[in-house]
Amino acid sequence: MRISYNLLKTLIDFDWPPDKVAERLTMSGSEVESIEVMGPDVRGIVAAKVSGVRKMADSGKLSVCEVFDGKGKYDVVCGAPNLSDGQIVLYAPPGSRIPGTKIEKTKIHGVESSGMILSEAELGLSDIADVISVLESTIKPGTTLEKIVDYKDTIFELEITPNRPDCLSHIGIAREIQALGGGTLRLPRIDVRETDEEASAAVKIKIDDPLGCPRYTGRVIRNLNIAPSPLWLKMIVYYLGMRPINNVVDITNFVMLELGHPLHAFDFDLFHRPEVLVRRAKQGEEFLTLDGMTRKLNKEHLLITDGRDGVAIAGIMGGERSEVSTATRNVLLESAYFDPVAIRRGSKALGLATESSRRFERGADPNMAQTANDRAGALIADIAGGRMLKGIIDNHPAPFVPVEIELRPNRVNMLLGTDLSRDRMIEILGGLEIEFSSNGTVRAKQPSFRPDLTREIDLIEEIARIDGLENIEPRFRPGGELVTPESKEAALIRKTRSYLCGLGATEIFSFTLVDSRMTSRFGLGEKCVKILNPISEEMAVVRPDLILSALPVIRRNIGFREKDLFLFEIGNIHVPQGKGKLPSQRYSLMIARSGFENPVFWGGKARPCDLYSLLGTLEDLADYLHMGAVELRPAEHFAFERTRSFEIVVNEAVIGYAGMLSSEGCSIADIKGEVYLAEVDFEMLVTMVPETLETSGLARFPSADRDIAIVVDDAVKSADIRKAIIEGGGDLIEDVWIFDLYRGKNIPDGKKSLAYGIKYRLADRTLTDEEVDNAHREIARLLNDRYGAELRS
Amino acid sequence: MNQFLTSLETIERKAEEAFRKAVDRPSLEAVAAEFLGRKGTLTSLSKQLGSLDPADRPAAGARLNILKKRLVELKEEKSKAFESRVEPESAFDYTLPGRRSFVGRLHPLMQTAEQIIQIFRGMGFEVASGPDIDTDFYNFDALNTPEDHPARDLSDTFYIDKGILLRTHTSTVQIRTMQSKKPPVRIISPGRCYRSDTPDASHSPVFFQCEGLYVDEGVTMGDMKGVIIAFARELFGPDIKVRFRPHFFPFTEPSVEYDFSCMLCGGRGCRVCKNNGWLEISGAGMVDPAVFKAVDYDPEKFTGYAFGMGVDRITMLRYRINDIRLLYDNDVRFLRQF
Repeated sequence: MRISYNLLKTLIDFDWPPDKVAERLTMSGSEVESIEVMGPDVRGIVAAKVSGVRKMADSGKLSVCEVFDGKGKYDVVCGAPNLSDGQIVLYAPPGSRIPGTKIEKTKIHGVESSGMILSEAELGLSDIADVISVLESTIKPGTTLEKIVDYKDTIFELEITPNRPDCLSHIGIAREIQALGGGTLRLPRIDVRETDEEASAAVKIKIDDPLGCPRYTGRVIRNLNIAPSPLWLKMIVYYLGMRPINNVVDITNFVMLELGHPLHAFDFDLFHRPEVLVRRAKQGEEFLTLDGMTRKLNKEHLLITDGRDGVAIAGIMGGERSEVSTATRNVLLESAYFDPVAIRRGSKALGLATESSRRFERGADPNMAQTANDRAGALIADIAGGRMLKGIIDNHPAPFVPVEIELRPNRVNMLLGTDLSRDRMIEILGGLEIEFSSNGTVRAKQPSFRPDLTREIDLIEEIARIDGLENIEPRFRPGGELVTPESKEAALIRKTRSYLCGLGATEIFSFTLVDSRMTSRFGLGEKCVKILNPISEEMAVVRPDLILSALPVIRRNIGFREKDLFLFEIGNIHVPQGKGKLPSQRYSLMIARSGFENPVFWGGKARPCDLYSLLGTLEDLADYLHMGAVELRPAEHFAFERTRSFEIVVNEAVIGYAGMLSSEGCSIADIKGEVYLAEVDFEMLVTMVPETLETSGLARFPSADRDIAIVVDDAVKSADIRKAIIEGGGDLIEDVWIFDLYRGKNIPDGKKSLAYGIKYRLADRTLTDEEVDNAHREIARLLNDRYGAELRS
Repeated sequence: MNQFLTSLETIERKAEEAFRKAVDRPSLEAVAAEFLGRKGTLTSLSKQLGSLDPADRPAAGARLNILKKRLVELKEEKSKAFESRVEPESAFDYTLPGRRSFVGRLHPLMQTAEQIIQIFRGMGFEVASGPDIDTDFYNFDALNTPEDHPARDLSDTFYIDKGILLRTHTSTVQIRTMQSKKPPVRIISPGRCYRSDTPDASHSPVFFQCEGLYVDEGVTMGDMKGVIIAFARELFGPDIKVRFRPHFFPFTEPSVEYDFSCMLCGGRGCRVCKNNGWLEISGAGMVDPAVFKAVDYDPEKFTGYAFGMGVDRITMLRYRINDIRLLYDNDVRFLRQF
């Protein structure tokens, strides 16, 4: 909402400078987003009379004329098409200023021009640029621009919250300033001069839907002249962000900006019948609005008709057929009150929001309808020269009934933490023009211009914001008995994140919305939660797992030549549970690796990631969290290469999947290179982490460390060998680990050499060499029996 | 005899391996002593010669000598290799970079969220969470946002089904928490929220919010100011100032927006704060009685405050990030800066 400092001054006596107005309004809830100073660069402009206009030879549209500025006569070259003798115009003599230009004497086509005749756009007074501004003939040559129009102004751009329709007007803002102690409000003086002809004889007003239209007032004005508005009116309408059209339309807009009440003027001669009928539109009824569009209406729309056809969509936009034009002589002036919900639904259905609908849907002031009509009618009679018929027709089937609100002063202080006196509270209510009675409790009456005030809490808010939030003393309440420990899950998320980060993985925070084309190509179409109204296919599905939201991240980074990736995320995934039910949501952990395992160093060799790099990360984490051993078992997964696709098993439970992105997956995700991915159900992981950790004492007897190297068929799995070693060594074995895997020279084709380290130890005594030898032999025998393993020594 | 020869072969293989593995001079000497020393393997083997068939002895002796020569060669070779590798002192380059382990990074949004959580936990707030996908009851109805409120337009909210949507704020968690327990309630709820905004430098359809709620007997607006001021100081230092401006939200009344003094210019005015010295952070207010009614709390008995903040917005302010998309693109060149 744009608010003019000058216009405010006509509605309230106050002496705050503009920056104080901005500060106080912002701190009381009408945030000033910007301040625009109007006309600072304009200087030395005066009215002048034109004479002796003659076309210049060979110069197209240019003319030369004489201007008289009250003191002297000067030759001026001008290209405006509307220049003619006898006009009073705005003249910029040499040495004067207009925005962006200092005026000097110039030669145009060999003719000396002493200054310029100005258009309104050149002065920033309106958007009219193609013609020069022609003033009323009563203005004397030599009158300065300052005396003609109050063009130096300050315009505040305010952000008005949707609960405050009253502040979409100058009177509303003036009332705020009054409540803040700036001065006393005064309504504009309205000088209604009517003819003897009764308006009620000229027009009938009927309301079919009193809920949608609780009040409709009309005035009839005859024999007026539609013309451009006087400069002051064009200027204020333009300063406030609207386009000047003609005197009648500009007046209705001006009154709306001044008093907050939207009005509409009809060309009354274009009505089929001398009546107004407000009714609901028929489903599918068509209506041509004044912007030239044919609109399809529905039963929610309120339609203003002339008893036969529509003339306006109530509260939203007028019709083209009855629009005021230069030919208009007789006007019906509407000032009504429409139901906010009806207007909002209507505006939404049409996708059409106007200055009028914005105000009605938030709630106009039903009691302002007549005042606004009188104000606009008086201005029209004054400016457009019409005759107002006697009386206003006021069809008011559902008068405004104010809500009575009880205000308990101690409740105010209890809620705000303040110590305000009852007198101060009453003073604030008074400033806001809220009527009240006060004996014991305070009983306030909702003003018709404040649809937001219906409860005690609403009044408490008024007191808080007008007294000033800065006056509420900040207090600090300590935690007390409410302090609760962190949940196991939250603690484990934190621990896992910092551990993975320390391992070298970078955390990502990916988009939970993923590409529906990608999910359907992976065959997950029905397994995903879909958005009914997505912005684009790219963000049309809520991720069913973290791998899907990680793939675009991997693609992006590889695309920027960042190929050595080690990424992780812990986040929510969503799985549909059937129509009408909330999807299930679980925490999941994703790990991705690609490129080289570690950065390349000058002394070492870089190793490309493989499945074991990924598995190692999982094992590190499982070990760190004391979950138990990690096993991979072949299992299918939509994203993985068939031969590199596994489920992750811990304590005989499947907690996730690990594998290599399949070549099809690479093409779906547009990724080049090998990518290894794991996804772990984090909530299952949490259950595997012991609640408490118990340490054990250190072994007191020495261990015997032996190696065993064997050659076996390639197909033999190392986990089986390990199991056999443990079985063969029995209780003597403390630990077994593989330290070498070798194929090649000295090993026959189809075979591999595996080397294990074995730590033998007993808790209660030192083992003898013989015991260890026996165990070692037994292991070798078992391996040979079971897997044909040959010792390699 | 055959057994003797086999053991020579085994010893040769073992010795070769042992010499190859020697990494420095002491370990080389140790290996040499093991095989060639006075009490070494070869010495004990030569003692066994006597027990062989006299006919086999010369051949066996010859084979033993060949092995001995081979082992001496191995030792010499290795020893030379060590010599050639000795660098002059001046060649030691202490300007070479060290051999580092590569450490990852935590996402800046999560770092900020962690810090926010830590600060509020310290002030007695519990972390509560709820589903990203929720019903319109939790997202709108219970929060005093009636059917015809502009915030319910289809254009702002992603819907999954009739009445099921992607939450537009984490206030849903406040309702769920209040439904599940009686006051006192003191929670914060961080989490992703969704709005169908086309992505640009300052809008993201997925964003990260954290909201707080405290309901008890006698909670005042002064308490609300106190906790937000304490938070601001913890996060941005003791000089930060907080400004509260009246505002409107359907679920709080009185409602406010709160601003922090610009941490870049100290409130004097700069480009970041558009010369007004204040940075808008988020909204807060006293819980509207209508919300209490929706969760069956007695608004006469209990009062409370709620506040929100954008984790993304605070992250952007902290690290002077001017495009929110950087936070969600997950470009490692960006993430490595944290």
